[in-house]
Formats: sequence, structure tokens, C-alpha cells
Amino acid sequence: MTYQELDKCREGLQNRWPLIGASIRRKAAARLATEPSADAVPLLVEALKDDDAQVRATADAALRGLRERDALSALCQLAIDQPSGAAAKICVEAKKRPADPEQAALLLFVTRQLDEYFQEDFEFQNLRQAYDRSSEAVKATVMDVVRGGDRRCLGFFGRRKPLSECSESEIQLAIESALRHKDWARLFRAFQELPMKYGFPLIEEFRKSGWEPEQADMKALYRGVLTEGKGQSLPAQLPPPQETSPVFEKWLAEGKKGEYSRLGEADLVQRLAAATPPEGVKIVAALAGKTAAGSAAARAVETSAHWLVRLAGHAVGLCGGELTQDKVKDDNYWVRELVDSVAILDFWPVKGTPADLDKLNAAPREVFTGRYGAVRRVLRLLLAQRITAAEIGDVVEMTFDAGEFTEA
Amino acid sequence: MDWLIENAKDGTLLALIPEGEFLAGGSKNENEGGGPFKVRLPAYYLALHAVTNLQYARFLSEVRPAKADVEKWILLSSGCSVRAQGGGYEEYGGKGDHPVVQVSWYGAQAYAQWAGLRLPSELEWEKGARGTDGREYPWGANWDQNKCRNDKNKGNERTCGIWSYAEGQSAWGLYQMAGNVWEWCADWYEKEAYTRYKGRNLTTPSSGVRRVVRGGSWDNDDTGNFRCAYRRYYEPDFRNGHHGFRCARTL
Repeated sequence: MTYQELDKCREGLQNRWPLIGASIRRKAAARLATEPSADAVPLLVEALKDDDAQVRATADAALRGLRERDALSALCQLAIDQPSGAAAKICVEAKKRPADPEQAALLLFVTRQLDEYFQEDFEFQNLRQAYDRSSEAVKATVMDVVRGGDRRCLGFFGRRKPLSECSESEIQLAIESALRHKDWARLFRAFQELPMKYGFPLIEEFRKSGWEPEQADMKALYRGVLTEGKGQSLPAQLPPPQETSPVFEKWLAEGKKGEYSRLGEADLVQRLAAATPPEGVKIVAALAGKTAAGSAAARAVETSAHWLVRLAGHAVGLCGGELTQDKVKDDNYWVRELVDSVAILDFWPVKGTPADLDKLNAAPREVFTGRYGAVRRVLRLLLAQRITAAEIGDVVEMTFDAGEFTEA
Repeated sequence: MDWLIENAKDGTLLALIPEGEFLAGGSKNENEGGGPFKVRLPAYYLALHAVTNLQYARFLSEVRPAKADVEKWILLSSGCSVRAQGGGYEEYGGKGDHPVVQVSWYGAQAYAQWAGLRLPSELEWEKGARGTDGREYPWGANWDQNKCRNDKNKGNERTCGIWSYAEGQSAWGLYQMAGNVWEWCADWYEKEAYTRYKGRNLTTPSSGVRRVVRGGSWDNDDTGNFRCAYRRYYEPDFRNGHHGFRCARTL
């Protein structure tokens, strides 16, 4: 089916003219059903919600009869993205699976077909591969299933990894677990590493617990944290969730996997200087795996004249916000709007450097009394403790294991 | 709502211009409304860049217009980097990423329709150029000849690539809202239109003899031509080496 035909069917399915609307929608559904390609699948799934029973039945039959590999894959992807939606219902009832074993494992898991899942992916190998490639939303769904109470699922973790490599949902899971078990010692260790958006709300939990560390220096730090955070909460109005742009995300994904990913840092920086903005975004995505914030390459990104390149730098973590500013400073409206403007909330104390502490120490007093003043005061305490500790090697980093914080 | 989209038909990149007020107009010329005034526009998309020679050649190759239409749309002669070739059209001279020139308002309109887009109204164009704060130039209050293609910095060249002069982007990230090529807008030109807009009547002229162009070109040295509020006009069949266009899209 050509794109023009597909567009025609899309328009047909949206037709709501009185008297003949249903007839036009039926024709469109029937046309799609004769060639249910991957592009037609989302339209057929949408048609399952139609007011007209005949349109719904045509779409349902077409989807249940899918055989073509790409079309099946498209249906299953919709089911993975919305495991309680209509596509998932069809996948479960008609036992539809994608050809890719990793995606098949993911589909079975998120749609809670756990008996089938454990027959096919006993060691979680396929699920883990699929999980690592998934969006945050799908990862969160997997976490929901893990939390669902089936003990077989706990083996999904089985691998330790630093907290800084964990997804948001993994961190939340570990926090919930530690709170449930009143494991204050581990929670306080994690608190010293986690960004303030997770850590700051824990201060009130610590206060209510009555617990205190035994070590003298930790006790002093703990008391300092309770004092600075007393009665404070994160400002109610957190930055808005990042709005999407499929084209920008496509460039980032291409940069991570495409030809740029095979080039070295120096080569990439050289190409960045002459790149168009779309190519620049891809180069930044490729650079992200090869260099760190603060490097010369990261500075080249941060100072690029192209706003899309700077935005990509923020998106992949090469450009950091300014710890002492509540807003990202950039001439471009979209960079200011889309980048999480409060760098302080996303900053990992465990990655803090003496330069970060110097910056906070040199900041004017109002920075510590403003909207995020209390957050900055707590972070300054944590950085001071970490950076002035006798030896950096003494500081044990926390890891995430089986849904809980553990010491590495 | 996506903040950046790529138009599937022609690859044009468009940024979202959010709904809201901006300061339009000025007082330097009689047709600018007699001083800045607030206008509220609904959200729309405006292209990050002007339509290029490569894009326009593809359009002509796909549409295969009759000879009379081609002549009405674009002057394929010296100064234009699109030419007929083997039954189709191609860009030449290594200027595929330069804005197409020698294109009339009709040629701009035909392209926009083919691409599933449209030309911006002049108020939409102006908001895209100056953001919300009524700035004089896309990059700020003061003229800076290094931030756009103009007669003072073009050397022996004419147009430049659409991603050049990135330092001169508008607040929304649109490239070359000043300089490189004058850009056709959808509206008929009417001298008093801005006075009417200032009075909160945003009805665009329903007829006229000339169409609006905005932004200044590589051939201009008078800094006034590059002001965001500067309104110029030409007959819609006018074609020359300074005129191009960019597209817009309704949400």
C-alpha cells in the first residue's frame, strides 16, 4: 500500500460525517485489512475503538490474522508500549509474538504472561537485552511487573551496577525497598550519592526515624543535613516533563549507533565544527560515550553556535547546568525550556569535584536562600564531606542489586 | 506537541512557535504601525531554514510542471542554481544547501502546497524573527554585520548555505531571519495593515497588487532592511536573485 493510500485510509477512519461517515470508515478499515502492513497496524488498532461494530470487527479480525513479520512486530511494539491496551489484548488472546526473541521476551513479561515467559527466557538473558534498549516508560513497566509479587521475577536483577547507571524506576524501587525495611544506614549511604531530586525528600524520613549513624564524622554530617533540610521540601513546581521531538530523538539514536559511533573523540570534535545541526546532534550523541562533561569536547558542544547541538549536549549529559543558577542560561528559547532548568536537582554528589564545591562556596548568599537554597546547602555539606575525606578510596560507592541498595 | 518536526515530504525542519503575545511593528517607517504593539498569535510551526535549491529542484522534478508554470514560478537563468536536466531538474554549482532564488511568490506558494505546508503570514514571520520581546534584529537590539549575510560581508559570493551565520539565529532558533534572501510571506501588502493590527483587528488584506517580503538579503547594505519590523513588497510574479522563502505549518 502506498503512503498516499495509507493517508487516505487514515482520513477515512477519522471521518465523522453524519449518515455516510460509518460507511466511509468501514471501507477504510476493509482496505487496510486487505493489506495489513506494519504502517497499517497502528490505524487498525485505533479502529478497534471505533463506534461502529463492523469497523471494530474488521480491524480485530485483521489484527488477529497478522502473519507478516514487520506487521507483527509493529503490533507487538504497541502492546509493549501499552500493556493494558487493545494491541496487548490481541497479542495475549491470539498468542502473537515478534520474531525477535528479545522483543518476544519483553512482550511476554510486560503483558504478564509469566508462565510462558519463564519457559522461554529462564535466565532473563533476552529480557535484559531488551530492557537495556527500552524507553524509560517500558523500563518502568518492567519494574511494575517485578514489584508485582511473583518471586521468580526478582532474579531479573541479579547484576550489580553503580547507582549512576540505574534508571529512575530502579532508583525509586530501591528507595521504596529501603524505606519499607527501615534500612536507614543503607539509605543514608545512598542519600550521599543520589541526586537531590531523590535524596532531599528523604530528609524528613530520616528525621522521623530517630536513627543516627554510629561513626562520629557521619553523625556530624547527618545532623548537619537534618538541620539544613529541616521543614524544607522541594519546591512544588518542578520543571515540566520534557516534551518530545521524534526527529531529535531519531538523530540522537542514529548518532549512538551509526557511523559516528565508530569514530574517535578527536575526529568527532573536528567534524562537529563544520557539521549541519542535524549532523551535529548525531555527533554529540556519539561523543557522549567517549568523553565526559567538562572535557574539551564537551566544551566544544557547550559553546557551539548551533542551539540543537547545545540541546543535544544537555540531552546526553555532556553539558551540565550551572549549580548556582535556577535556570539554564542560553539565548535559545527551546534550550531554556526543554533542559531541566534546575541543575542542582539532577547533580550526582558522588560525581562532584573540588571545582563544584568551590563554585558553591563562592556563590552569593542569596543562592542559598532562594527557591532551591536548602537543597544547595545540603549538597554543599555532602560535597564537603566527600571531597575533604582523608582518601577518596575510603568512600564506598553504593550499587543496585536485586532491587536494593548494597555496598560495592 | 512536538517542538521540532521534519516535514516528511521535503525534509524541511520546523520549530514550534508557541501560542502567545509578542511585540510587533515599530516606528522607523510609516507602514510599521506607529510604534511597537502587542499581538497574540496561536501556536504554529515555522521552518528553521529557507527552502534550498536542492529541495526546489526535487519539487520541480516530481511535479513536472508545464513550461508556462515553470516560467511563472522560477527564472532558471544566471543567478539561479536550479536547472533543467534530462527531463527533470537539478541543483548545480555546489549550492544545494543555499536558499533557492529567482523564485516568484507563485513559485513559493506552489512549493509550499506541494510540500503540504504553507507560506507564513507576515505577523507569523515577524514573531519567528523577533521572539516576544520586540527586539530590533533576530539576535538582539543592535546591528551586527557579522550575524547575517549582507552586502558588507558577502565578498565575491551571493547567497550562503542555510545553516551559516548561526550566531544570528532568532530566539526560537530560526536561521537567517535577517539576511541571505528576502522571504516571501503569504499576505498581500497593505500599507495600513499594521495600524489595523495595532487596533486588535488581525484580519489580513483580502486583496492587493503586491505581496510582502521580509528579512533583507545578501545584496543589501542598509541596516534598516534587516530590521525584524521592516516591511517590503513586490509584485507576486517578481523574480530575482535576492528572493527566496521559508514555509510554515498550522498545528
